[in-house]
Amino acid sequence: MTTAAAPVAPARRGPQGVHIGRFILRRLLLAPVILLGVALAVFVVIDLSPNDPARAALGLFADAQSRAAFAAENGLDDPLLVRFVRFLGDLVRFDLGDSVVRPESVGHLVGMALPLTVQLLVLATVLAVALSLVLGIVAARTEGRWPDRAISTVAAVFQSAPQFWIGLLFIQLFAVGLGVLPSGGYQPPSAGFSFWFSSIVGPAIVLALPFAAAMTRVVRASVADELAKDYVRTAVGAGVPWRAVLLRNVLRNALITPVTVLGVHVGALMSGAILVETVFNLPGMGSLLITGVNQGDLGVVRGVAIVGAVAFVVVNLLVDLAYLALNPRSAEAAR
Amino acid sequence: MTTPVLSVANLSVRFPKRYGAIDVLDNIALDIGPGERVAVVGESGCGKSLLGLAAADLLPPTAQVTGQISFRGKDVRTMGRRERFALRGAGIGVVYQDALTSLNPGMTVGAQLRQVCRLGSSSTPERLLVDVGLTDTGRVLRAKPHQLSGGQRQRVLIALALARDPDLVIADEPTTALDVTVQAQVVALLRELQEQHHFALLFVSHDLALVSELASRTTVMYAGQVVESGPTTEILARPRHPYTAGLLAASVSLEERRETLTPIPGHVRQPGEFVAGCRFRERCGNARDDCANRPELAPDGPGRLLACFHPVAKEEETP
Repeated sequence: MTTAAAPVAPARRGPQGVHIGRFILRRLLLAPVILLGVALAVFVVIDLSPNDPARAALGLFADAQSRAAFAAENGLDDPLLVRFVRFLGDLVRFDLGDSVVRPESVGHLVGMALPLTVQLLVLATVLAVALSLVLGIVAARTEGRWPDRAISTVAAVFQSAPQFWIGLLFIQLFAVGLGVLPSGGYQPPSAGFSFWFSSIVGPAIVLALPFAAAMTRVVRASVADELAKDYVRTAVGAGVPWRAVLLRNVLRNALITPVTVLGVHVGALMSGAILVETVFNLPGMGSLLITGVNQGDLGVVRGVAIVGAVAFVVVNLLVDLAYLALNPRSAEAAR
Repeated sequence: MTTPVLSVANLSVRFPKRYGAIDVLDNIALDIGPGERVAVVGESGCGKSLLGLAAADLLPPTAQVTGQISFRGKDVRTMGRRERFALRGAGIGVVYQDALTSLNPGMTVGAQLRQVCRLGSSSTPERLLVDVGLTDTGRVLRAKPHQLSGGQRQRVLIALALARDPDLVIADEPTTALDVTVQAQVVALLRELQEQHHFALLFVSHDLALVSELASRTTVMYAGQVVESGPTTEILARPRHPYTAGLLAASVSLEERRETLTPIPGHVRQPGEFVAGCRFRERCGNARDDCANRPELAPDGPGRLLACFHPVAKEEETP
């Protein structure tokens, strides 16, 4: 019906689907390789530590003979490579070895501590993401005016404040001053939701604050960038209401950078959890690690490090996939 | 005479933060009747696109606007929020310059068309695509903008502009980013759609050849001011303002087989460096001392307006 027929461009949908499939496959294949490397690094670094498991198990005053006997019994004299392969073999069977100090196996200790830390990390991430989205968008929409300045200033303060200090101030304010939250300790969900929640929300907030501050700045910059783009004018000019422009058109594109930053910050969040668990006296992975280090319990230290590393790799894989879902073109670029 | 669809009078636009008290658009007047095709021409930086955006009420909040922009006899700037909002898309549709950045890279073409059609349209995304000559509708609807060719993207943008059956379409250099052959197709398409749907068309361009094919009336702008306006054929055949004559002498025409092109010396200055009086005078061969005063736009023959103290002589045809 039109005289001007559309020029036929070659269909490019097929190749892109191939890119995405290849990208996911490569990431999935790469993950075990990374994990192997991580396991080796953890093993070697901990092996190099001056801590002697025999001394940790038998006490400070054990004689050389009994220490040597202990080493022979546990295969500590074998070459590094042999011990690493044995460690890997155990790892594949989800056996993290034994604690030399405590009667429980490392697997059991980690199993006890992990749920608490996961709850803490998930809650902190949810809080940080929610907070940074709201504040970042408000700041971007009021760019240069007072709400933006207030949000940016507070974010800068919290991003640069040391976490343990925020934790101590928080305890001072909410537990000692206002008495609304416990100053530390953990109640499992079986103790009732409100007990559980009040025991974990404080640590989660403290853990989330620097993270939320960093994310707010990223979200603000990213949304402000996106709002200035031509396609926003196209949508507004076509009469699409502002809320729909922001939520359905802008946010999806604006979240690409924050999602990447999220992946980067997961590591910082994990090490933050060690600190926060110590400050709030929570029996999570962080506390387990600290006691393990203090007691020279290399099995425990190694177990926590491995689980943490695996979690980090898995989370980053998930973040990469989320990034891919938001920005399918990255698959082509990453070829 | 019927009420014009769009009537711009004494329109001035400033950007106080960037350019201070300089009128980046200075005292613009422009009328477009129902179903009329009007062109605005000038070099890059003359404020043509800015005029298009001002007419569509899409200037950024940093712009300071004075004067009247009336749509169907009502001043846009005194309209209530609701009324002003209803104007967007439904009253005025805009075809933007750069189709790649003007489409959302993260949404499929289908999603972008649907969210506009949902606001009220006599058509469907599929029909709109067919209307703009994209017959492979299924594939195009599922595609993201970067999966389409430049010409296809521009057609999608036209479909978006027409989705809500506007009375006025503002086409802001819709062909700049395209191959010459595709340019001609897009212009033919715009013309055809205009004849079908009878919307008024404001065509912003620097390309005099395209303008001559499309517009019945033409307004020539230089540095934010209207220098000349009138029927397109008249203006192209007998330009009165030295700037228009210069533009014509600098444009390529295959039919005329001219040996050399005559460029206009110099370039359009940044708004911060606009000279007082006639802004073209430093590049103008006819300029005298009195050009330091601002020439007013005044009638010059039937249907023509001119702002020049020393116009090109009437008898003299362009070389």
